[in-house]
Amino acid sequence: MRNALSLLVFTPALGAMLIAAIPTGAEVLMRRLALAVSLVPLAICVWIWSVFDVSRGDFQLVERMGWLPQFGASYMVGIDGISLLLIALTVVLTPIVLIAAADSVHQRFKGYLLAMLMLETTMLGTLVAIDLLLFYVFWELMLVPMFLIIGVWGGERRVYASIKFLLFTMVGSLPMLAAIIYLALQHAGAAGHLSFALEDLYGTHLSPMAAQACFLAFFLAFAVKVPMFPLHTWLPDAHVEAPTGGSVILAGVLLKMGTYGFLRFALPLFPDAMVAASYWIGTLAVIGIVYGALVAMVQPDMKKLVAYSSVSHLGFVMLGIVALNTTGVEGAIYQMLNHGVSTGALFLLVGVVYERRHTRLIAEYGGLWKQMPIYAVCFLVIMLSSIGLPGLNGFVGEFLILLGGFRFDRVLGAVAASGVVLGAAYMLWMYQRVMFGPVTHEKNLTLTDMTRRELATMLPLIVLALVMGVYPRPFFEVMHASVATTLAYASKATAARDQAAGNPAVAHAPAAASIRMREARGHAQPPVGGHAPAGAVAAPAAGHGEAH
Amino acid sequence: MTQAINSGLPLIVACSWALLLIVVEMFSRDRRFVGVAWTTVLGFAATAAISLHYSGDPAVYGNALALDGYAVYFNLLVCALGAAAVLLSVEHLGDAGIVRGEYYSLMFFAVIGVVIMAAATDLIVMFIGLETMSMAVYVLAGIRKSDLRSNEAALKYFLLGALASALLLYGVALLYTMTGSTVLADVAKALSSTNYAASDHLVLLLATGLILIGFGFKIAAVPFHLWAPDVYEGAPTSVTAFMATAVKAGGFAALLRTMLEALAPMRAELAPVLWGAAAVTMTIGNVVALRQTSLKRMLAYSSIAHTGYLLVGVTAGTAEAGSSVMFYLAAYGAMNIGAFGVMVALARRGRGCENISDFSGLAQTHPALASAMALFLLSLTGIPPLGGFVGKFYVFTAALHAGLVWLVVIAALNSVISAAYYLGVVRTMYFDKAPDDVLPSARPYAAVVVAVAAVATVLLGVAPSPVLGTAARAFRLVLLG
Repeated sequence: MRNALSLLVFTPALGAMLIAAIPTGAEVLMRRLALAVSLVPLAICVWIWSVFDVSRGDFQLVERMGWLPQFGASYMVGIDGISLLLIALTVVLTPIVLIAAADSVHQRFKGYLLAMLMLETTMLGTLVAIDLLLFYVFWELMLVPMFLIIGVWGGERRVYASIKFLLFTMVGSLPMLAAIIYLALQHAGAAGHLSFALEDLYGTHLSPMAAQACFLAFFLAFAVKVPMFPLHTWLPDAHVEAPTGGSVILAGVLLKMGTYGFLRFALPLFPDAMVAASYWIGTLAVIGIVYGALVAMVQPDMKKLVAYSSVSHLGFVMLGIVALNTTGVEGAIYQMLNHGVSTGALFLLVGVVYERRHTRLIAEYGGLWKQMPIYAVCFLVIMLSSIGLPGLNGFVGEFLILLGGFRFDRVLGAVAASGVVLGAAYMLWMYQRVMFGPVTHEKNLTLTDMTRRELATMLPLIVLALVMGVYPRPFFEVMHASVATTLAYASKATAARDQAAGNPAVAHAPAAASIRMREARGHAQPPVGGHAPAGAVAAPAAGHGEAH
Repeated sequence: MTQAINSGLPLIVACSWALLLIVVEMFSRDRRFVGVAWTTVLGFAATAAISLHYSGDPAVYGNALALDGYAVYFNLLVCALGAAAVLLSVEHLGDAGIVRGEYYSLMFFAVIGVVIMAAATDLIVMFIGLETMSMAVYVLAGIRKSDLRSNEAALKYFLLGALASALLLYGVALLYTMTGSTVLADVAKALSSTNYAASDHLVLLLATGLILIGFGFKIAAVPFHLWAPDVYEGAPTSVTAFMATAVKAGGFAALLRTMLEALAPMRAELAPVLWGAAAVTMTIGNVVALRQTSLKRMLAYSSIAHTGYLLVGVTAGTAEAGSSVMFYLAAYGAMNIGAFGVMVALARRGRGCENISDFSGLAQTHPALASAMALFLLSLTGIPPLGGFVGKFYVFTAALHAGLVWLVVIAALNSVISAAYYLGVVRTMYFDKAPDDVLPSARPYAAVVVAVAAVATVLLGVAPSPVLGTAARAFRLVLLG
């Protein structure tokens, strides 16, 4: 399978073409075919995982083909551990969304399936592209199906929400295109030939001013997508108006493209600028954590509550990334997966009652525990995973991020920790109001419990939440070498930053500490030569101990 | 001598064919003139094939014409666009209530004008080409003789166009008095080797300014764009499609050669003017397009905005920028012909299908046409991996290479503004409900043109290398010659 990645990326698009040929009316056939198509990338992903060499931190399964030789831009794809995990998340969530579509999409069913499959192709393409121009192509293209999904199958204010979503993200990404071109031209000036391949552009010499301007352009593109406070205002609108499946994918995968972009592109390409800006970004991230949680607390609408909780959770992820130590970054990556699983599941759960009652207002519910016991149990597990209860997936990620965050800056870490408490507060409060107490609305008396199909969408996610909570090792194993490689690009600048902040112990963690940590996690492999990451101390092992 | 004949052969064939068309039309008993239309398409094919076969010859006829790669590139482009416009006209003339056989020969003469402009290496010959094209287009714009709005637009176009031509000619004359030649290469030589006194220099600036105004009118650059929305709206849609693509390509073919070859020594002085024109043109085009409710008017303003993007390339003035403009014109031609083609496909007598609201719910009633239209609009916005994106990318890269960072930033911001109105149409097609009186099914000829344009738009984005390479090679030769 030399073309495993291309196959992975383009299977959904090919499947979409197949489905497009089915005449309208044969919806059951379409649905089954779409599901079958979306299982192919899942199978390919399992195969890739099995051949993936976890001891390597560079790009694997690389494919390269000429595309625009005049510009040195090529079709170049490859994965490392970070992208592999996010690919896995994508290929797991897409079939679930396609199953759920049967309940939540009532018109133009075929178009919805097509849009979802095209969206999967663009998401996977974004994750495997290691040529900057190719990445940009998928990055922009990703907007189109999502724009249609919100705009065609959304709620009342869908038109406003879809246009806002589109314009926000486009304003964010066009400066990035300019920065990409600028970077390639600077590289061409030094190397003599134009290239957009990521590996060629690493270490391109830029003046500090230019590096900062370019970083700002990348930051804008990614921060809008994450979304970071104060660029988040498109998110609640998009989430509330999007159909259930759209929300699941938007929260589950699309938001991660922003955080992924920071790790894959912004950090290795402009390490000095990113390190210099890390306190600013960290501050914004922490504001996002607290602000998102506080706003979520007062939402009367369940979907809006979950949307704001995303702002808060993604704040955690960003804090872990700018901590720029192994603990923080690995926690951040793990938290990306957790957020995809638990928030995706939360949106599905909100969709379940919405389909029955056509309202998402918390005040309309109450006492569902008695009417829908299975639903209440599923909701309980997912909610606890989202809060970060030990034993479930959310805990592992949040704990590592806070640990890394404290190392980075005590104040930021402390404020972020308060977000955990707030998070528990708004979730539990919502749960209490929806599930417990007497049934106050007559309509709720006739509610039926989850159907088999709804359970089929929920069970995989619950299983994942449990597995990732008690047995996180394989996930960390996959990401470890890649995180070390990524952090190595910024190790010098990070060391200087942490030294200036009076944190020498963190900055120059001896390689032995790193090995100890690996052993504590049960890694058999020796550390990757030359990639002794900064900030690796034995403490994370303790975190895992508690998680188990 | 044979070389001279070879270089002129495409023109000779094209002119004879145009005359032939007039005769054929007289004997055509079919009031839809389908046979005439196909004869026209055949003529375009012949012109393109012959210019491809005899390409590569240096300037002939006393350095008046050259069938170099540059000319051949534009010949192929404009013949393709002309053929597309003709095929769009087959059904549209009936739908627009026009029974005029001379329509096709006029279109052919307009293409001949562009062919002359692209091949001209002498300013006077270029002017002859410009006038040949303009005369034909003036008539085409007003071909709906009984429509008052169309008459007004055509008259406006003619009066302003005549003034612009006069200014251009005056500029050429002044340039001649200063340099002693109208041949592009000789003008450049004289400009770079002579030390002009201050007063003479002023005359030179006046001359180049007048020439720029003349071309600026043809390509609808701000502030010489005021005719465009009215004329685009008043003309039959098939003519509008032709004007927005082929006529614009002709204007740029002439402008590019003049600016980058003859006036290259004056680039430093002209750059600020071009910079300002590019920035203002794209901004005004995009901002005004936001407010349009008529799709035709919106596309008119959008075409002004694209003139602005193209001027970014002209401002950069390098070989890379020149070929980027050439490529952009091809991509722009494909997607714009396609967008107008969708309008033509749905238009019927008494129901023009020219307003954005006419497209409500098109995705449900005409899914294939709607997705093609969405494709063209996304390409016009510059969403990858479509032709419009590669064109913009190429132009922006060339401009950044030439150090025009701020102009590129302005252009990038303009792309966002344009997204608002292009996607507004997508929104209408996909998000709104279809009206009760459903639009008729697509006209077959127009549907074929739309399909071909869609394929071209995608190909120019996914595999643009052949066209990019041809443009780059052609342009390098212009600068060397």
